Amino acid sequence: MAIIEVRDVHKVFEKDGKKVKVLNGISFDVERGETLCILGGSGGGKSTLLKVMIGAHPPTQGDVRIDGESIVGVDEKKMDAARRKFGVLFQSGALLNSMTVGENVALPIGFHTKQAADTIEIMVKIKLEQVGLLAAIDRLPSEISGGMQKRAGLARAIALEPKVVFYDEPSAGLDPIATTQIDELINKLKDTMGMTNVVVTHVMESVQRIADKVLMLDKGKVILYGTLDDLLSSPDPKIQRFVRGETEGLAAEGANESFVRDLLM
Amino acid sequence: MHQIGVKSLFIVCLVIILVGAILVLQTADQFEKFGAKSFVARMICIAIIRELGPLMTAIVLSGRVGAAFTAGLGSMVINEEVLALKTMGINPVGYLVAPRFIAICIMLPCLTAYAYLLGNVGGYLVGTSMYNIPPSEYLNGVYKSLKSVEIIAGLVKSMIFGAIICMVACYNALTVRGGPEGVGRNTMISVVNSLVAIIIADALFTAALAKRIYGV
Repeated sequence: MAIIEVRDVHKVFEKDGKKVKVLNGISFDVERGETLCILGGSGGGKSTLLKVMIGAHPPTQGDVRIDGESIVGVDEKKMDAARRKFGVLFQSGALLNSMTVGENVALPIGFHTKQAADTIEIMVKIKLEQVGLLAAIDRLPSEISGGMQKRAGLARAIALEPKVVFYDEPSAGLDPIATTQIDELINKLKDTMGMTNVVVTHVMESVQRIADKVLMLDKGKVILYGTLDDLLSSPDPKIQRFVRGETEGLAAEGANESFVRDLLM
Repeated sequence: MHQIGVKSLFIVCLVIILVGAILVLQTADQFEKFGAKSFVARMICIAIIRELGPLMTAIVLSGRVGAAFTAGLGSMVINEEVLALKTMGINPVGYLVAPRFIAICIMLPCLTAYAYLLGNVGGYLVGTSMYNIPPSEYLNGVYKSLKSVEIIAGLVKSMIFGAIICMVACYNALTVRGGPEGVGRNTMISVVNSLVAIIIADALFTAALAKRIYGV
Protein backbone atom coordinates (compact mmCIF):
# COMPACT_ATOMS: atom_id res chain seq x y z
CA MET A 1 0.00 0.00 0.00
CA ALA A 2 1.26 3.50 -0.86
CA ILE A 3 2.20 5.58 2.17
CA ILE A 4 0.65 8.72 0.63
CA GLU A 5 -2.50 8.61 -1.47
CA VAL A 6 -3.78 11.79 -3.08
CA ARG A 7 -7.15 11.42 -4.76
CA ASP A 8 -8.87 13.95 -7.02
CA VAL A 9 -7.72 16.95 -5.02
CA HIS A 10 -9.16 20.34 -5.99
CA LYS A 11 -8.34 23.62 -4.30
CA VAL A 12 -10.13 26.87 -4.99
CA PHE A 13 -9.14 30.13 -3.30
CA GLU A 14 -11.57 33.00 -3.04
CA LYS A 15 -10.66 36.61 -2.34
CA ASP A 16 -12.79 39.70 -2.87
CA GLY A 17 -15.36 37.57 -4.69
CA LYS A 18 -12.77 36.31 -7.18
CA LYS A 19 -12.27 32.55 -7.40
CA VAL A 20 -9.01 30.99 -8.51
CA LYS A 21 -8.69 27.26 -9.05
CA VAL A 22 -5.16 26.40 -7.97
CA LEU A 23 -5.40 22.59 -7.94
CA ASN A 24 -7.56 20.77 -10.41
CA GLY A 25 -8.13 17.04 -9.89
CA ILE A 26 -4.70 15.97 -8.62
CA SER A 27 -4.26 12.22 -8.01
CA PHE A 28 -1.10 10.22 -7.32
CA ASP A 29 0.54 7.81 -4.87
CA VAL A 30 3.87 7.90 -3.10
CA GLU A 31 5.36 4.51 -2.23
CA ARG A 32 7.24 3.83 0.99
CA GLY A 33 10.89 4.75 0.97
CA GLU A 34 10.86 6.63 -2.31
CA THR A 35 11.57 10.27 -3.08
CA LEU A 36 8.94 12.11 -5.09
CA CYS A 37 9.83 15.49 -6.54
CA ILE A 38 6.95 17.84 -7.28
CA LEU A 39 7.96 20.21 -10.07
CA GLY A 40 6.41 23.07 -11.94
CA GLY A 41 6.72 26.74 -12.76
CA SER A 42 5.82 29.53 -10.35
CA GLY A 43 2.08 29.57 -9.61
CA GLY A 44 1.70 26.02 -10.87
CA GLY A 45 0.25 24.85 -7.55
CA LYS A 46 3.29 23.05 -6.03
CA SER A 47 3.31 24.81 -2.66
CA THR A 48 -0.48 24.70 -2.42
CA LEU A 49 -0.39 20.94 -3.04
CA LEU A 50 2.23 20.56 -0.31
CA LYS A 51 0.12 22.58 2.13
CA VAL A 52 -2.89 20.40 1.32
CA MET A 53 -0.78 17.26 1.87
CA ILE A 54 0.39 18.43 5.32
CA GLY A 55 -3.13 19.44 6.37
CA ALA A 56 -2.40 23.18 6.48
CA HIS A 57 -5.12 23.88 3.92
CA PRO A 58 -8.12 21.59 3.47
CA PRO A 59 -8.81 20.69 -0.15
CA THR A 60 -12.02 22.03 -1.67
CA GLN A 61 -12.65 18.50 -2.92
CA GLY A 62 -10.81 15.19 -2.78
CA ASP A 63 -8.89 13.17 -0.21
CA VAL A 64 -5.34 12.83 1.11
CA ARG A 65 -4.32 9.72 3.04
CA ILE A 66 -1.09 9.30 4.92
CA ASP A 67 -0.23 5.75 5.97
CA GLY A 68 -3.83 4.74 5.29
CA GLU A 69 -5.44 7.48 7.39
CA SER A 70 -7.30 10.37 5.80
CA ILE A 71 -6.27 13.84 6.93
CA VAL A 72 -9.23 15.59 5.29
CA GLY A 73 -12.17 16.65 7.47
CA VAL A 74 -10.82 14.90 10.56
CA ASP A 75 -10.86 16.30 14.10
CA GLU A 76 -7.76 17.78 15.73
CA LYS A 77 -7.02 14.58 17.68
CA LYS A 78 -6.83 12.50 14.50
CA MET A 79 -4.92 15.24 12.73
CA ASP A 80 -2.37 15.31 15.57
CA ALA A 81 -1.95 11.54 15.25
CA ALA A 82 -1.41 11.98 11.51
CA ARG A 83 1.11 14.77 12.12
CA ARG A 84 3.28 12.38 14.12
CA LYS A 85 3.78 10.43 10.89
CA PHE A 86 5.35 13.26 8.96
CA GLY A 87 7.81 16.10 9.36
CA VAL A 88 8.07 19.25 7.29
CA LEU A 89 11.07 21.29 6.22
CA PHE A 90 9.80 24.74 5.29
CA GLN A 91 11.31 27.01 2.68
CA SER A 92 12.78 29.36 5.28
CA GLY A 93 13.65 26.63 7.76
CA ALA A 94 10.96 28.15 10.02
CA LEU A 95 13.08 27.85 13.15
CA LEU A 96 11.80 29.73 16.19
CA ASN A 97 14.20 32.67 16.38
CA SER A 98 14.02 33.06 20.14
CA MET A 99 15.36 29.53 20.68
CA THR A 100 18.75 27.98 20.04
CA VAL A 101 19.15 25.33 17.35
CA GLY A 102 19.17 22.63 20.02
CA GLU A 103 16.01 23.97 21.67
CA ASN A 104 14.29 24.06 18.29
CA VAL A 105 15.06 20.40 17.68
CA ALA A 106 14.07 19.50 21.25
CA LEU A 107 10.70 21.24 20.91
CA PRO A 108 8.69 18.44 19.21
CA ILE A 109 10.47 15.76 21.28
CA GLY A 110 9.65 17.49 24.54
CA PHE A 111 6.10 18.19 23.47
CA HIS A 112 5.21 14.72 22.23
CA THR A 113 7.25 12.36 24.38
CA LYS A 114 7.67 11.97 28.10
CA GLN A 115 11.43 11.62 27.94
CA ALA A 116 13.67 13.00 30.66
CA ALA A 117 15.60 16.15 29.88
CA ASP A 118 18.94 14.34 29.53
CA THR A 119 17.39 11.78 27.17
CA ILE A 120 15.98 14.60 25.05
CA GLU A 121 19.41 16.21 24.97
CA ILE A 122 20.96 12.98 23.67
CA MET A 123 18.20 12.64 21.04
CA VAL A 124 18.78 16.23 19.93
CA LYS A 125 22.52 15.62 19.61
CA ILE A 126 21.89 12.49 17.53
CA LYS A 127 19.57 14.38 15.16
CA LEU A 128 21.98 17.30 14.82
CA GLU A 129 24.83 14.87 14.21
CA GLN A 130 22.79 13.27 11.43
CA VAL A 131 22.55 16.61 9.64
CA GLY A 132 26.15 17.60 10.49
CA LEU A 133 25.19 20.48 12.74
CA LEU A 134 26.15 19.37 16.23
CA ALA A 135 28.61 22.26 16.60
CA ALA A 136 25.74 24.76 16.23
CA ILE A 137 23.59 23.28 19.01
CA ASP A 138 23.82 26.38 21.23
CA ARG A 139 23.63 28.98 18.50
CA LEU A 140 20.58 31.06 17.62
CA PRO A 141 19.06 30.72 14.13
CA SER A 142 20.12 34.30 13.37
CA GLU A 143 23.76 33.34 14.02
CA ILE A 144 23.95 30.58 11.40
CA SER A 145 23.82 30.55 7.59
CA GLY A 146 20.75 29.85 5.48
CA GLY A 147 22.02 26.38 4.60
CA MET A 148 22.62 25.59 8.27
CA GLN A 149 19.13 26.86 9.13
CA LYS A 150 17.70 24.43 6.56
CA ARG A 151 19.69 21.58 8.06
CA ALA A 152 18.55 22.56 11.56
CA GLY A 153 14.97 22.64 10.25
CA LEU A 154 15.51 19.17 8.82
CA ALA A 155 16.86 17.92 12.16
CA ARG A 156 13.68 19.23 13.78
CA ALA A 157 11.51 17.67 11.06
CA ILE A 158 13.03 14.22 11.69
CA ALA A 159 13.19 14.61 15.48
CA LEU A 160 10.29 12.23 16.05
CA GLU A 161 11.48 9.85 13.30
CA PRO A 162 8.48 10.34 11.03
CA LYS A 163 7.70 8.02 8.14
CA VAL A 164 7.46 10.87 5.64
CA VAL A 165 9.34 14.16 5.31
CA PHE A 166 7.93 16.97 3.19
CA TYR A 167 10.33 19.60 1.83
CA ASP A 168 9.16 22.96 0.53
CA GLU A 169 11.79 24.30 -1.89
CA PRO A 170 14.71 23.03 0.23
CA SER A 171 17.31 24.65 -2.03
CA ALA A 172 15.63 28.07 -2.21
CA GLY A 173 18.14 30.82 -1.44
CA LEU A 174 21.07 28.42 -1.11
CA ASP A 175 24.35 28.34 -3.01
CA PRO A 176 25.15 25.21 -5.09
CA ILE A 177 27.30 23.66 -2.34
CA ALA A 178 24.62 24.05 0.32
CA THR A 179 22.03 22.75 -2.15
CA THR A 180 24.14 19.65 -2.77
CA GLN A 181 24.51 19.12 1.00
CA ILE A 182 20.74 19.23 1.46
CA ASP A 183 20.24 16.82 -1.46
CA GLU A 184 22.79 14.43 0.04
CA LEU A 185 20.94 14.58 3.36
CA ILE A 186 17.65 13.76 1.65
CA ASN A 187 19.25 10.71 0.04
CA LYS A 188 20.91 9.73 3.33
CA LEU A 189 17.58 9.81 5.19
CA LYS A 190 16.02 7.62 2.54
CA ASP A 191 18.90 5.14 2.47
CA THR A 192 19.65 4.87 6.18
CA MET A 193 16.25 5.41 7.78
CA GLY A 194 13.94 4.35 4.97
CA MET A 195 12.13 7.68 5.05
CA THR A 196 9.75 8.67 2.30
CA ASN A 197 10.53 12.12 0.92
CA VAL A 198 8.22 14.49 -0.92
CA VAL A 199 10.19 17.42 -2.28
CA VAL A 200 8.71 20.53 -3.87
CA THR A 201 11.39 22.06 -6.04
CA HIS A 202 12.12 23.66 -9.36
CA VAL A 203 15.86 23.00 -9.38
CA MET A 204 16.56 20.36 -12.03
CA GLU A 205 20.03 19.53 -10.65
CA SER A 206 18.42 18.58 -7.34
CA VAL A 207 15.73 16.55 -9.09
CA GLN A 208 18.38 14.56 -10.93
CA ARG A 209 20.23 13.87 -7.69
CA ILE A 210 17.33 12.79 -5.48
CA ALA A 211 14.19 11.86 -7.44
CA ASP A 212 12.83 8.33 -7.74
CA LYS A 213 9.60 9.69 -9.17
CA VAL A 214 8.56 13.09 -10.43
CA LEU A 215 5.19 14.81 -10.55
CA MET A 216 4.96 17.87 -12.74
CA LEU A 217 2.20 20.41 -12.31
CA ASP A 218 1.06 23.02 -14.75
CA LYS A 219 -1.79 25.39 -13.94
CA GLY A 220 -2.95 23.09 -11.15
CA LYS A 221 -3.01 19.91 -13.25
CA VAL A 222 -0.66 16.96 -13.38
CA ILE A 223 1.08 16.94 -16.75
CA LEU A 224 3.59 14.22 -15.88
CA TYR A 225 3.81 11.56 -13.20
CA GLY A 226 6.57 9.03 -13.66
CA THR A 227 10.25 8.37 -13.29
CA LEU A 228 13.14 10.75 -13.88
CA ASP A 229 13.68 9.09 -17.27
CA ASP A 230 10.04 9.78 -18.17
CA LEU A 231 10.65 13.44 -17.36
CA LEU A 232 13.87 13.72 -19.31
CA SER A 233 12.51 11.91 -22.36
CA SER A 234 9.08 13.54 -22.41
CA PRO A 235 8.15 14.97 -25.81
CA ASP A 236 5.91 17.63 -24.18
CA PRO A 237 7.45 21.02 -25.14
CA LYS A 238 6.44 22.56 -21.76
CA ILE A 239 8.27 19.82 -19.89
CA GLN A 240 11.27 20.07 -22.17
CA ARG A 241 11.44 23.83 -21.64
CA PHE A 242 11.36 23.28 -17.87
CA VAL A 243 14.04 20.59 -18.03
CA ARG A 244 16.28 22.84 -20.12
CA GLY A 245 15.63 25.76 -17.76
CA GLU A 246 14.10 27.99 -20.41
CA THR A 247 11.82 30.73 -19.11
CA GLU A 248 9.80 31.24 -22.28
CA GLY A 249 6.10 30.72 -21.60
CA LEU A 250 6.58 30.34 -17.85
CA ALA A 251 5.83 33.97 -16.93
CA ALA A 252 2.16 33.67 -17.79
CA GLU A 253 1.93 30.57 -15.62
CA GLY A 254 2.93 32.65 -12.63
CA ALA A 255 -0.06 34.97 -13.03
CA ASN A 256 -1.82 33.57 -9.96
CA GLU A 257 1.30 33.37 -7.84
CA SER A 258 0.99 36.62 -5.92
CA PHE A 259 -2.74 36.12 -5.46
CA VAL A 260 -2.21 32.67 -3.92
CA ARG A 261 0.83 33.77 -1.91
CA ASP A 262 -1.30 36.51 -0.39
CA LEU A 263 -3.85 33.94 0.66
CA LEU A 264 -1.36 31.42 1.94
CA MET A 265 0.89 33.77 3.91
CA MET B 1 6.81 39.40 32.09
CA HIS B 2 10.17 41.14 32.02
CA GLN B 3 9.46 42.51 28.54
CA ILE B 4 5.93 43.62 29.42
CA GLY B 5 6.43 44.79 32.98
CA VAL B 6 9.98 45.88 33.72
CA LYS B 7 10.71 47.29 30.28
CA SER B 8 7.46 49.29 30.27
CA LEU B 9 7.90 50.65 33.76
CA PHE B 10 9.88 53.76 32.86
CA ILE B 11 7.53 54.95 30.11
CA VAL B 12 4.43 54.25 32.22
CA CYS B 13 5.94 56.14 35.17
CA LEU B 14 6.95 59.07 33.00
CA VAL B 15 3.52 59.34 31.36
CA ILE B 16 1.53 59.08 34.56
CA ILE B 17 3.73 61.56 36.49
CA LEU B 18 3.16 64.06 33.71
CA VAL B 19 -0.57 63.32 33.63
CA GLY B 20 -0.80 63.97 37.38
CA ALA B 21 1.18 67.18 36.96
CA ILE B 22 -0.92 68.36 33.98
CA LEU B 23 -4.15 67.68 35.88
CA VAL B 24 -3.03 69.97 38.68
CA LEU B 25 -1.86 72.63 36.24
CA GLN B 26 -5.22 72.57 34.44
CA THR B 27 -7.48 72.50 37.48
CA ALA B 28 -5.75 74.17 40.44
CA ASP B 29 -6.55 77.71 39.19
CA GLN B 30 -10.24 76.88 38.89
CA PHE B 31 -10.36 75.34 42.36
CA GLU B 32 -8.54 78.41 43.72
CA LYS B 33 -11.21 80.75 42.29
CA PHE B 34 -13.82 78.93 44.37
CA GLY B 35 -11.58 78.80 47.40
CA ALA B 36 -11.35 75.06 47.18
CA LYS B 37 -7.64 74.57 46.51
CA SER B 38 -7.50 71.96 49.24
CA PHE B 39 -9.72 69.72 47.11
CA VAL B 40 -7.16 69.53 44.31
CA ALA B 41 -5.42 66.55 45.91
CA ARG B 42 -8.70 64.68 46.29
CA MET B 43 -9.73 65.34 42.72
CA ILE B 44 -6.36 64.22 41.33
CA CYS B 45 -6.30 61.10 43.48
CA ILE B 46 -9.85 60.09 42.53
CA ALA B 47 -9.14 60.70 38.85
CA ILE B 48 -5.93 58.66 38.94
CA ILE B 49 -7.35 55.76 40.94
CA ARG B 50 -10.70 55.48 39.22
CA GLU B 51 -9.79 56.28 35.66
CA LEU B 52 -6.45 57.65 34.55
CA GLY B 53 -4.15 55.11 36.25
CA PRO B 54 -5.65 52.02 34.60
CA LEU B 55 -6.51 53.81 31.35
CA MET B 56 -3.19 55.56 30.69
CA THR B 57 -1.24 52.41 31.60
CA ALA B 58 -3.39 50.38 29.20
CA ILE B 59 -2.94 52.98 26.45
CA VAL B 60 0.84 52.94 26.85
CA LEU B 61 0.89 49.14 26.82
CA SER B 62 -1.40 48.85 23.82
CA GLY B 63 1.11 50.92 21.88
CA ARG B 64 4.24 49.35 23.28
CA VAL B 65 3.33 45.75 24.05
CA GLY B 66 0.26 45.21 21.83
CA ALA B 67 2.18 46.41 18.78
CA ALA B 68 5.13 44.19 19.72
CA PHE B 69 2.81 41.19 20.07
CA THR B 70 1.30 41.76 16.64
CA ALA B 71 4.60 42.49 14.91
CA GLY B 72 6.41 39.59 16.59
CA LEU B 73 3.75 36.95 16.10
CA GLY B 74 2.85 38.33 12.67
CA SER B 75 6.48 37.90 11.58
CA MET B 76 6.34 34.34 12.86
CA VAL B 77 3.25 33.76 10.73
CA ILE B 78 4.85 35.03 7.52
CA ASN B 79 8.08 33.13 8.27
CA GLU B 80 5.99 29.95 8.54
CA GLU B 81 7.06 29.45 12.16
CA VAL B 82 3.42 29.27 13.26
CA LEU B 83 2.66 26.76 10.50
CA ALA B 84 5.72 24.78 11.61
CA LEU B 85 4.30 24.64 15.14
CA LYS B 86 0.96 23.42 13.77
CA THR B 87 2.62 20.69 11.73
CA MET B 88 4.50 19.60 14.86
CA GLY B 89 1.09 19.20 16.53
CA ILE B 90 1.70 22.18 18.82
CA ASN B 91 -1.27 24.51 19.19
CA PRO B 92 0.07 28.03 18.45
CA VAL B 93 -2.61 29.63 20.62
CA GLY B 94 -1.60 27.58 23.62
CA TYR B 95 2.11 27.86 22.94
CA LEU B 96 2.42 31.48 21.81
CA VAL B 97 -0.69 33.35 22.93
CA ALA B 98 -1.41 31.88 26.38
CA PRO B 99 1.93 32.89 27.98
CA ARG B 100 1.52 36.43 26.63
CA PHE B 101 -2.06 36.55 27.91
CA ILE B 102 -1.06 35.47 31.40
CA ALA B 103 1.93 37.82 31.47
CA ILE B 104 0.02 40.93 30.45
CA CYS B 105 -2.94 40.15 32.75
CA ILE B 106 -0.49 39.97 35.67
CA MET B 107 1.80 42.83 34.70
CA LEU B 108 -0.77 45.44 33.71
CA PRO B 109 -2.29 45.63 37.23
CA CYS B 110 1.27 45.77 38.65
CA LEU B 111 2.09 48.72 36.39
CA THR B 112 -1.24 50.29 37.29
CA ALA B 113 -0.26 50.13 40.96
CA TYR B 114 2.88 52.10 40.10
CA ALA B 115 0.69 54.50 38.12
CA TYR B 116 -1.51 55.08 41.20
CA LEU B 117 1.53 56.08 43.19
CA LEU B 118 3.35 58.13 40.57
CA GLY B 119 0.27 59.93 39.24
CA ASN B 120 -0.25 61.28 42.73
CA VAL B 121 3.45 62.08 43.03
CA GLY B 122 3.20 64.18 39.85
CA GLY B 123 0.21 66.05 41.26
CA TYR B 124 1.90 66.47 44.63
CA LEU B 125 5.07 67.97 43.11
CA VAL B 126 3.18 70.56 41.07
CA GLY B 127 0.55 71.25 43.71
CA THR B 128 3.03 71.89 46.51
CA SER B 129 5.67 73.71 44.50
CA MET B 130 3.61 75.85 42.11
CA TYR B 131 0.33 76.36 43.94
CA ASN B 132 1.67 76.45 47.50
CA ILE B 133 -0.60 73.73 48.79
CA PRO B 134 0.91 72.61 52.09
CA PRO B 135 2.39 69.10 51.75
CA SER B 136 0.52 67.80 54.77
CA GLU B 137 -2.76 69.13 53.37
CA TYR B 138 -2.09 67.54 50.01
CA LEU B 139 -1.18 64.17 51.53
CA ASN B 140 -4.20 64.33 53.82
CA GLY B 141 -6.41 64.96 50.79
CA VAL B 142 -4.93 61.94 49.04
CA TYR B 143 -5.35 59.79 52.14
CA LYS B 144 -9.01 60.76 52.54
CA SER B 145 -9.71 59.90 48.88
CA LEU B 146 -8.21 56.43 48.93
CA LYS B 147 -10.80 53.67 49.08
CA SER B 148 -9.73 50.05 48.87
CA VAL B 149 -12.74 49.06 46.78
CA GLU B 150 -11.85 51.70 44.18
CA ILE B 151 -8.22 50.61 44.12
CA ILE B 152 -9.24 47.00 43.59
CA ALA B 153 -11.80 47.96 40.93
CA GLY B 154 -9.08 49.85 39.05
CA LEU B 155 -6.73 46.87 39.21
CA VAL B 156 -9.46 44.51 38.00
CA LYS B 157 -10.24 46.95 35.22
CA SER B 158 -6.59 47.02 34.18
CA MET B 159 -6.56 43.22 34.09
CA ILE B 160 -9.53 43.36 31.69
CA PHE B 161 -7.65 45.92 29.59
CA GLY B 162 -4.65 43.58 29.50
CA ALA B 163 -6.83 40.73 28.25
CA ILE B 164 -8.26 43.01 25.56
CA ILE B 165 -4.81 44.18 24.41
CA CYS B 166 -3.55 40.60 24.17
CA MET B 167 -6.60 39.23 22.37
CA VAL B 168 -6.76 42.04 19.82
CA ALA B 169 -2.99 41.95 19.20
CA CYS B 170 -2.72 38.19 18.88
CA TYR B 171 -5.82 37.93 16.68
CA ASN B 172 -4.37 40.51 14.31
CA ALA B 173 -1.02 38.70 14.36
CA LEU B 174 -2.39 35.26 13.61
CA THR B 175 -4.54 36.56 10.75
CA VAL B 176 -1.69 38.39 8.97
CA ARG B 177 -1.81 38.06 5.17
CA GLY B 178 0.42 39.54 2.50
CA GLY B 179 3.97 39.33 3.84
CA PRO B 180 5.84 42.07 5.72
CA GLU B 181 3.46 44.72 4.41
CA GLY B 182 0.61 42.80 6.03
CA VAL B 183 2.48 42.72 9.35
CA GLY B 184 2.79 46.52 9.30
CA ARG B 185 -0.86 46.95 8.37
CA ASN B 186 -2.11 44.56 11.05
CA THR B 187 0.13 46.16 13.69
CA MET B 188 -1.47 49.52 13.01
CA ILE B 189 -4.96 47.96 13.04
CA SER B 190 -4.13 46.14 16.26
CA VAL B 191 -3.12 49.33 18.12
CA VAL B 192 -6.13 51.31 16.90
CA ASN B 193 -8.59 48.49 17.61
CA SER B 194 -7.22 47.80 21.07
CA LEU B 195 -7.42 51.51 21.97
CA VAL B 196 -11.04 51.67 20.84
CA ALA B 197 -11.86 48.39 22.60
CA ILE B 198 -10.23 49.61 25.84
CA ILE B 199 -12.25 52.82 25.83
CA ILE B 200 -15.48 50.94 25.12
CA ALA B 201 -14.72 48.40 27.85
CA ASP B 202 -13.91 51.25 30.25
CA ALA B 203 -17.21 52.97 29.48
CA LEU B 204 -19.16 49.74 29.97
CA PHE B 205 -17.31 48.89 33.19
CA THR B 206 -17.88 52.34 34.62
CA ALA B 207 -21.54 52.46 33.55
CA ALA B 208 -22.24 49.02 34.99
CA LEU B 209 -20.42 49.44 38.28
CA ALA B 210 -20.39 53.20 38.94
CA LYS B 211 -23.19 53.14 41.45
CA ARG B 212 -22.04 50.01 43.23
CA ILE B 213 -18.37 50.92 43.53
CA TYR B 214 -18.10 54.68 43.29
CA GLY B 215 -21.52 55.50 44.72
CA VAL B 216 -22.44 57.94 41.96
